[in-house]
Amino acid sequence: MKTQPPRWAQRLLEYFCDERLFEEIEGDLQERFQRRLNLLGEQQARRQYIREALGFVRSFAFKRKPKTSSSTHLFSADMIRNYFKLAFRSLFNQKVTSFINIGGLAVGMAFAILIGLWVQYEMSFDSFHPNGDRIALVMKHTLFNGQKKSQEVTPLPLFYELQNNYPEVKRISRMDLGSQHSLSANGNSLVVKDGAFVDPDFLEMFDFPVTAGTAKTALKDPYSIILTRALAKALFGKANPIGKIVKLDNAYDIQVTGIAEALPKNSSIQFDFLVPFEFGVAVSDFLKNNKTNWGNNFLKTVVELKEGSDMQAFSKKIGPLNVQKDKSIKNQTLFLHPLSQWHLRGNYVNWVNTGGKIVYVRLFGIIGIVVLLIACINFMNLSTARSEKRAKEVGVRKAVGSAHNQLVLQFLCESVLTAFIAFLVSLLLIKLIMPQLKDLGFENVHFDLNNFNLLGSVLLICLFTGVLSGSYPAFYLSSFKPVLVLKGKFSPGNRSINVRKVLVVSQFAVSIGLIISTVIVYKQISYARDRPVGYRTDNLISIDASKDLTKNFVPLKQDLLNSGFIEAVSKASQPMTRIYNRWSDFSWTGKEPGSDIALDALMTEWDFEKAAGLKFMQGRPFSREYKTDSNAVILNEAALKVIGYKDPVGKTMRSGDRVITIVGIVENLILEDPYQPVYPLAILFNPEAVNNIFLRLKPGSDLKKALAEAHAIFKRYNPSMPFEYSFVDQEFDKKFATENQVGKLAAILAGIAIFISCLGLYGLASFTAEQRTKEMGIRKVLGASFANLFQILSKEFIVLILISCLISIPIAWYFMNDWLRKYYYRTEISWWIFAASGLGALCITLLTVSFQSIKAALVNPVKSLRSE
Amino acid sequence: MIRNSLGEFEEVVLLTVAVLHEGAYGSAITDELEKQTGRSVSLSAVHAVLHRLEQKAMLSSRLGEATAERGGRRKRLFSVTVLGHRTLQGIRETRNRLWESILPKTLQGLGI
Repeated sequence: MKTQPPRWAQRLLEYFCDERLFEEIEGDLQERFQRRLNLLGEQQARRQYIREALGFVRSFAFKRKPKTSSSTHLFSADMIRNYFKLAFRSLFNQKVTSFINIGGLAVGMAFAILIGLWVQYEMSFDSFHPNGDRIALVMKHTLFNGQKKSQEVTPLPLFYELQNNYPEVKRISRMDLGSQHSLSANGNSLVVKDGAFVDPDFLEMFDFPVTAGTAKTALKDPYSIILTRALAKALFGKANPIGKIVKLDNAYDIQVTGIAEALPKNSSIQFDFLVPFEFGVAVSDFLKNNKTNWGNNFLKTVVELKEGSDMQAFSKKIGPLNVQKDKSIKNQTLFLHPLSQWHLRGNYVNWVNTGGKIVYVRLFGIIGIVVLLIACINFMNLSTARSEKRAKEVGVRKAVGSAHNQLVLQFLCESVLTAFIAFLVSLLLIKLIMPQLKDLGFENVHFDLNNFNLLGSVLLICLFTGVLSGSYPAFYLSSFKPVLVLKGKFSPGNRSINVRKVLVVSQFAVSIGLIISTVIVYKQISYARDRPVGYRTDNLISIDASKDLTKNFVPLKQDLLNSGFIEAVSKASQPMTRIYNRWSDFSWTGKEPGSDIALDALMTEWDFEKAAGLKFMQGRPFSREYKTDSNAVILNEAALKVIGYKDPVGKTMRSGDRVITIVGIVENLILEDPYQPVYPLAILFNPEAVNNIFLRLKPGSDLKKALAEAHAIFKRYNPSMPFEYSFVDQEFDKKFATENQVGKLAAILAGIAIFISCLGLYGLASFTAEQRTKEMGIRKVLGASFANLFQILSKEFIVLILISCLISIPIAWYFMNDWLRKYYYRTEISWWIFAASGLGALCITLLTVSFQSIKAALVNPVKSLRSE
Repeated sequence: MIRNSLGEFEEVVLLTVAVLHEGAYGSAITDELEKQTGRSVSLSAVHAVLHRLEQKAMLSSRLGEATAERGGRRKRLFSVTVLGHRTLQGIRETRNRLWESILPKTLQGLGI
């Protein structure tokens, strides 16, 4: 074997030496090695070789980076300018396509951004309290009437127990929120809806902005009050309110000790004023009497745990507290409901947290993304559909030396530019749309262009959209073989057509699914609305009763009836749209001993049935003719069912120790949740318990005049308080607010989705029609009728829509069935919804496509066939 | 920097390329230089200079044939460009001028 120079030296040389120099150098070294081998022998030759090879370890021989001039420019300024120039040109060349792309993307982006903002707002609730992660509401699970419920209210002694005997509790406060009160000072008087009674700890637990007065001491004295800035202004004008006296409920003088700035809108706790809970204890016999009563639940208790305490462990620890303290209480477990879950995860079903608004936040978040995706799909479809036209362009570019990478970049540039223009348009759209969404939960959502974080993330979305929608066309278009394309043998393969079909099908599947869901949401709402309410909500006015009104009720009633506008007047212990009392001390013959069954208790007097419009099934209303009616009771159907009397009228039952006689049975009244079964109700006779006064207007009477008249009469008997009233039917409608919101939002999104999808379909249809002009011409020449041609052009799309229907129907059915299950009183999902939605989608599609089809079918074949 | 100035070694290598005419490549130039000057010359230094001269456009090169003793590697054959030629001429003229400017008796002491 021939002797070789040392391998390692050769390798070394090869490693560092520039390949353009390597050949000659290695050749020279070899040549000299061979010569020395003959003259000096192997050892010397090897040594010399190594010496000379190492001599080349110097800069001129080293490997160099490939010179830039020899490869393609991807990112040079010229090329980037060129990419954009081409992108603009192609946008202008294809005006219809560009319009569809930009329009679709802009609408999609606008809604995606809006929904993103909404999601962000909803998620931000209650997140501004520094100690928030240690704050929780004490709630309780109950088992009552065989139903597992979870309630926010707890007994009063729980507060003292937790405060004194549990070291884990750092701060604790009772909360009585949202009660209506009148305030007067400085000659002004007004009624506020959100009065709050809390403990001094409240201000330190929560980070509400209290200025003027310190959070630590402002609520120490029971006779002190913190007003919100707006309320202080309404009462005192520009004067400094601190230290001034406010008259609460026309009875108590208390001193202003602090001012709270406007509360953040994303706070679950809202109040107009704060008064120490101890004030309530000082003035209310009810509270004094319930200080040790563990059986009366009426109060929210909120705790802040010490740093490092485990919330779950503490939740478990206090679980059996109620039951331990009062042996007569059964089936109650206390638990903690963390602050972070108040807003979005407030629902408990069968003692398990089932989320709440978070469901909608997630749902609409997903739908927002999906709508954006639909718009992206349009872009992909139209780009690939146009591929045949652009194939030649790609071929020529490649032939003159364009690299694959450059083409990809060029197409991506086009899509990013489109996305960016769409983004600018979407900003405009957002400005226009935003005010229209005020009543859909967007009233507190703001789009602020000065917020750089927001702008940055939105731009990121824009870039993402551009890259996403441009990626498929970019890689697809840039992969064409120039030889085939330029020879004219190119036909965009089945693959791209199939991809396009899949994309169209998915677009329409989503759109049809959204339409179906919207229809079902609305059907559920109208189903619950059509449910018999049990009383007449129309022409019924509810007025919150004050002390003066209660005292002067008899002349007030007489004056109102005399006015001629009012048909009936009555008073009750609660409004028609809420439940205030639920008593468990009812008993009757045949009641299972030890069973926990509570009845709602509504206290009222004569004429309530006239004012509310109750519908009697048996018996009679309270009557002045019967002296014994002070111990009478009227039950609703649900209560009769629970009690189980065969022939109830005239029979007796007990409320505590008091014997009461059943005088009538009324149809079920929906006082609370219209989606839930009606709770058993006992209507008791008690003229003393008055919270609301009800007026029934005479049908057909002039509302304005009637109200003016009523106002004058109320002013006479209640001069210190403003006349505040509400229409019961409006209050009742509020029970559907969430569902209405969801329904409207779903409808809007469904509309957007189908709009964008149709936009894309229109583009595709116009493209196919254009492509098949010659074919249509030949068919026409050979005798095809207009109907034939129309059918040929439309059939393809109809099939796609039918497939989308088939896909979306089971999915929509599954999700909506799941959604409906949370309502006890729910509508059926009938087949016609699917049929109608599918048919609707089909009609819209036909309309969209037919414009192009008709145009193509009407073209004079002479014209379409003339040129080649 | 003025590119047509040459160092001493560069000049010698350039001249050797001219001497070897058609057969000027790295190893041959090295051998010829050793023979002519009697000094040991390193192969890599020659290559470096050839490379530099080519960058200065005083040499041009082409790849020659491969031979067995070179392990199948091709030679790079150099030839002097017009610029190289002119530069050499320039240097020579300068020297000649200088030589002619020396007064006859000045160098006598050196025994020439």
